[in-house]
Amino acid sequence: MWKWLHPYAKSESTYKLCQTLLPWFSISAAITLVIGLILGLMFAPADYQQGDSFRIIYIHVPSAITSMSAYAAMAVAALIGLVWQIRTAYMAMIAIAPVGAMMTFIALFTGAAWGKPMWGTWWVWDARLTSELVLLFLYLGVISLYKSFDDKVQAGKAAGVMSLVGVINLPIIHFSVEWWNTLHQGATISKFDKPSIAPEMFWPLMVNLLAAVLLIGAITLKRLQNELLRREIHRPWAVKTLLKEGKS
Amino acid sequence: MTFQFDSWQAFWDMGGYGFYVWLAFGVSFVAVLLVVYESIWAKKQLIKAVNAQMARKKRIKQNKQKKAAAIAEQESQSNSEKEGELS
Repeated sequence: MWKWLHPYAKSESTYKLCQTLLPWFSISAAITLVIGLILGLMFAPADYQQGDSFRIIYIHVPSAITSMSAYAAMAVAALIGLVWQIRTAYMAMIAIAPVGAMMTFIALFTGAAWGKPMWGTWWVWDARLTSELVLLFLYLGVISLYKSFDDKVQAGKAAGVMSLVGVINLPIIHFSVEWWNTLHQGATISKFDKPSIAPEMFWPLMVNLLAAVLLIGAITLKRLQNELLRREIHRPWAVKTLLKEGKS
Repeated sequence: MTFQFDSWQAFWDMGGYGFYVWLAFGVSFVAVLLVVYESIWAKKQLIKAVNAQMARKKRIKQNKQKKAAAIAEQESQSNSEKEGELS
């Protein structure tokens, strides 16, 4: 049943798949990002309490949600690598990590820039903010653990175990606003009943969320290609690809 | 869907929250740009590395050929010297 997947354990076919997908991801990411930002910054109505400062939501919420999804994706890649001993899975894991770290940083920074005018402080050590900061450190830990091994199979295993252990942080982040009394507001969109946000504010947010997902996809594909080439730079296919791309 | 601001001036001002809004958007933009740039730069480094690798292989091959040629020449010289002694 899963036989069609097997060729993609081979580096060259994965590289080609990335090559085919990359332009689609990049172009649609750029388009949705521009539409989402224009809608959010210019056309969504201002919040009746927060005024125009609420427009930070259009990067804060998509980056916060995707920082967690990216971590989940990284952990799945790590699990596949550990269970089925597939090297390409480790490479996917390490390709996602910096992109996820970037999204976590954006979520934290935009949160701070939003917190200053609304809460009166850039930072508080409350549950939501602290657990998101831990997520950033987990990403950085996975990256530096991977970098610290010369043998990249060992590196993949060690970093893979670390990213799997870190999964425990995801429910903590999600439920932190319910489990503890925090300054951060509760869930607005990811509730099972109707989202408590007006549709004119909601749809631009969804466009931006899509944009964030596509952006992560595009950068991850590019980084996965780099990692495949880096690891196999002595193999004929990688040499041929790099020489060809060096000329063009 | 209508444009929410009276003027561009008002748009940049963001109802008095301009500094925080543009700070958040600006830093996020720079962060994305840096990661994208790094990913493209890394590819260029790989192309450089493979070019260096090919150049090295070529040099090794050339040196081997030179050495082989030199040895062959030496041998033929010593052979001709031997022939000279015999005659």
